[in-house]
Amino acid sequence: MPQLAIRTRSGRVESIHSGIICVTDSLNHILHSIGNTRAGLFLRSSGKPFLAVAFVHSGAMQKFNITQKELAVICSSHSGQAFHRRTVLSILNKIGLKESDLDCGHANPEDKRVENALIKLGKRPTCIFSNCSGKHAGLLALCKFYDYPIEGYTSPDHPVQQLIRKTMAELLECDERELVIGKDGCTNPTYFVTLQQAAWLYARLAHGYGAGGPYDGCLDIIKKAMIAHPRMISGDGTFATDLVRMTKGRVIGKIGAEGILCLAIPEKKLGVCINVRDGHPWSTYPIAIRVLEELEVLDATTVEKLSKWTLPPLKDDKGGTVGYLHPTFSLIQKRVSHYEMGDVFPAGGR
Amino acid sequence: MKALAAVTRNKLVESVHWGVICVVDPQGNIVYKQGDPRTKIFYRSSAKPLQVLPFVHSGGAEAMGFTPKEIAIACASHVGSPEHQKTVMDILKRLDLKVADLHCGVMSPYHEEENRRLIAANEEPSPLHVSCSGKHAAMLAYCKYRGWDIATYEKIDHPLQQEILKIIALFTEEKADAILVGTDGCGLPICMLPVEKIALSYARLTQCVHDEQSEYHRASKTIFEAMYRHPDMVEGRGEFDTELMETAGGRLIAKVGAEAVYCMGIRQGNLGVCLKIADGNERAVYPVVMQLLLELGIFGDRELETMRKWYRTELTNNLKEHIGDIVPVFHRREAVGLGDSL
Repeated sequence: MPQLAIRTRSGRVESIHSGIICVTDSLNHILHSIGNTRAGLFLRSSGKPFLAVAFVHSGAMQKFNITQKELAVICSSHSGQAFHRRTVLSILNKIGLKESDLDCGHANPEDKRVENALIKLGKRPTCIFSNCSGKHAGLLALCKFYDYPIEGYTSPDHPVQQLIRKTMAELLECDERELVIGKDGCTNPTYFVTLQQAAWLYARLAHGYGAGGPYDGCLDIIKKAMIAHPRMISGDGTFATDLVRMTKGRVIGKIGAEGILCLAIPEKKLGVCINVRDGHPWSTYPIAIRVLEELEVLDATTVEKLSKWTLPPLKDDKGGTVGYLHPTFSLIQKRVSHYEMGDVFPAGGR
Repeated sequence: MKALAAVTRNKLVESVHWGVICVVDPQGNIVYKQGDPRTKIFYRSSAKPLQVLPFVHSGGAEAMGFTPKEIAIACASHVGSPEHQKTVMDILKRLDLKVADLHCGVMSPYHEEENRRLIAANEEPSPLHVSCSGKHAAMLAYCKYRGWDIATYEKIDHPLQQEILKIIALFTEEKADAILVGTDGCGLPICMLPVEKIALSYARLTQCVHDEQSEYHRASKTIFEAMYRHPDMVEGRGEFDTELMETAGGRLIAKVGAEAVYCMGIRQGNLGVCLKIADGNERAVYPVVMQLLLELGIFGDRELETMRKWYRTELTNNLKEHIGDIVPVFHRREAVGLGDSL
């Protein structure tokens, strides 16, 4: 498995992250890759913008007067901040449902300040704090639009899931019987696709079908919502929000659990899927920035603005920097490093 | 590197953890291995029993009135529960030292209840909450015993750190001046050594427990017994080190280190174990250690029953549904690929 990043301590390699990268255009041509792009992964939260395609396509947005901001939270893995929760509640309100109708389970909000505020109040998080509550509100809205029962809406047999399955198959131009699903952290079906398919989906988010296709308009609406509302798709102080903000919407990043990060780059008409195969979450951030630099999407000034994510320092308990997380590959040159643990690594050696 | 553990979702492999395992006898003969045992890693908190050895060996621990429980916390990465804090505080009080004399920095405790209490009460965590505070208290005690400066005990040129370096060199058969020293999470010097040499130090320590002729017999025995008799001090109730040592009932000592390092000293055959998960994720350590103990014939069905949740860690989603597992894979004959059915 190719090495993508290492973590150092006192100038030596302490830990190693391996993984796969795939860059495709909207016609499913692989432009750059590292590792086996036919390897499979569960899309996890990186699938959210595509689960939303059926929603946008249905006309439910018009019927329920769903705003662009609300669409952004439907595509989000949000951090549970007050404005996220308000936006999700607003969707539920418009479709005549309540928080208790959400079937995403309880989860701690990803924003530490929100979690601490709950602890101070002696409260436990409810469903609305789950990073998936926006997606679930969108699924419920789709149920209401088609008059489907809301009971069991996360079950693969439910008509809303059947509809999403059909849409996913159309987006991936495959037979829907070929699609393999698993259960996500919020119990909703998550699709098992290859890295190439994941990158292709994001190329479609970036550029539609290229030669024109049935969901071009929907993909464009979703893309614009995610660009227009960077705080809504993730949260303050998170990578996905910073990436859209600092690049002024030139890149959309969407994380998925277990080390997935997908990128849509509209100006290049490209989609990217990065998967760190040990599931490490934040090593994907410097890897993504390295990819974007190499694709000449980010200039030095923007990389500087994203410095918190470019070369994340590792701190000791006194706050001192003891090492860094370094990306160690070149996508364009198709070159990966072969570090062993214990190898010398030059300080700050990007 | 070898795939040691896999994480599944709906019976398909979602993530894989690679790493190195080495088991040696006290002569340094490799009894079992996966990956390259010459791979160099930072010893991290797994070094603690060795770091406390000079203090116990010198007679310092006895002179400063250290109980077995206090020696256990000196070898600990504890969770910072009230009981752990009190044990460390008792040492400091007896030495007429203050919390601020601990140069281990500050971290939020792993102990969930204590962490919630701090947040609810708007209290900042203190050095006592740091998982290494017991080790730091013991180091201060040794400085007091020797009459060394207590203000600079964490510096590599301090006589305390030099003595620890010599002990580690002795137990790993390395030259002290050739060992690379980095900085640990708590600011102390930490040695970088081949996995097989770290395993050797645990094999040697365990051998000394039985070898009455050894110069280090008494000190090793004291440390070994303190750890397995007070496993709750070494980490915390419900934690892996603690439950592993409780289940083994004195047959082994076990100590986790940051970035997924794990060491054990096993009485049967005086075996020393060191393993490291390359990506540093501790979740893979538990099933790998359990499988290794089965492979070595140390654990059987009975222990497996008690430790099942660590052997095959069940993963649940936000609705508490079972969606997958973390399972050991290094013993399987066939290679494990991503997306494979498992």
